[in-house]
Amino acid sequence: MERSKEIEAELSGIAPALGKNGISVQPYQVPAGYFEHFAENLLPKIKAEEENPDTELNIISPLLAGLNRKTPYRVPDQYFNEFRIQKDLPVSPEARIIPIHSGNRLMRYAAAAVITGAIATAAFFSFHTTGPDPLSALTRVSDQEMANYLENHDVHWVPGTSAATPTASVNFDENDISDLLSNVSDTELEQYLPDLPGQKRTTN
Amino acid sequence: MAEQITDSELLALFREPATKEKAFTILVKKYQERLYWHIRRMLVDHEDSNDVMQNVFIRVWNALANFREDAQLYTWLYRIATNECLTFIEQQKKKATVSMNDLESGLSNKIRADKDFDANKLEWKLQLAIHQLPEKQRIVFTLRYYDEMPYEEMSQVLETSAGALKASYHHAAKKIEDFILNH
Repeated sequence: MERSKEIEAELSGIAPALGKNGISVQPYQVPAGYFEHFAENLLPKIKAEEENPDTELNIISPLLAGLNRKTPYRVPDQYFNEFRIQKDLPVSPEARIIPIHSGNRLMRYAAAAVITGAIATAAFFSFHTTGPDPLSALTRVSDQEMANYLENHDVHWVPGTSAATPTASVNFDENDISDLLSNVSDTELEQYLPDLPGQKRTTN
Repeated sequence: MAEQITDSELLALFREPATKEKAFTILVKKYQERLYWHIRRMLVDHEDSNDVMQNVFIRVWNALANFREDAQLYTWLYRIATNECLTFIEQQKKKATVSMNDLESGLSNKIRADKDFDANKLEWKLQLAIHQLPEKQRIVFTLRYYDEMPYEEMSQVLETSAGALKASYHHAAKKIEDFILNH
């Protein structure tokens, strides 16, 4: 260690042998790598001291650290020797612990799919329901039955009535009738001519 | 004998039907005093502390077979005891329909009512000072001061970070010191 000239001069005045020869080399040996690892060895020790409750409390509050830590409350004699659980301990088998998240996810997904499918199917059929085709049902009805129905229920068209009326009303003129009957042969027409004297046909 | 058996050995004995009751008795003997004092420091009164300790060990009986050993057994026991104390305090609040402050002054009154109470003695002043603290801070202080519980274990008992617990303890100690110096 270098000494200042002032100190050297002072030492020379006090103890010339020390001052002049400059015996300043320290004879002590330091373990190899001592200073390289000093910091990292020191930190765990500091932490351990901090974690020690006594040391910690001494730093925070020497007053509290110096107190007797015995709790002053009294306990009935023989309390700990005689301590027993006074209530009956349950002896029934332990309740099965059901985890919140069941492992059987596949079953849950399958159940959800079935329910969704059922709801979708019901919705599909309710919106796309087609009842029996009324025209095909009519083919099973004979002409005589049809005529009887029309006569018994007094179903007839009154030309000029509005679409709001419950009965259908169609205005036919002669051109319409010609168009409608253009594909009907005379033989077929004759089948529909009633054999009733004096009755006028009403067009349907 | 209770102190000699390890917690792992105790758990193994408890899980066997033939030795379950014997293991439980050993466990009670091993931990009763530590748990009792933890509870008593919270509740002050012996009768209340005895009731809560009964409840603690009943819960231990019911739950010990499923204890996963991911924490120290005594940490787990302390957690049950702490929760039972807090539950008891909540029930007292509801019964009496008083505020928490009134309950705390009630506990201070219980301390003063103790037949051995001596206001001049520091250990009694310390109890009064502890009961001035908010509930959770009180628990932190007593666990560290009396039980010398490491912060990492305390964090498992109270489900709070070790850093927060350390800060809480420091504040608690300062408050208690101020109380003692000024009363």
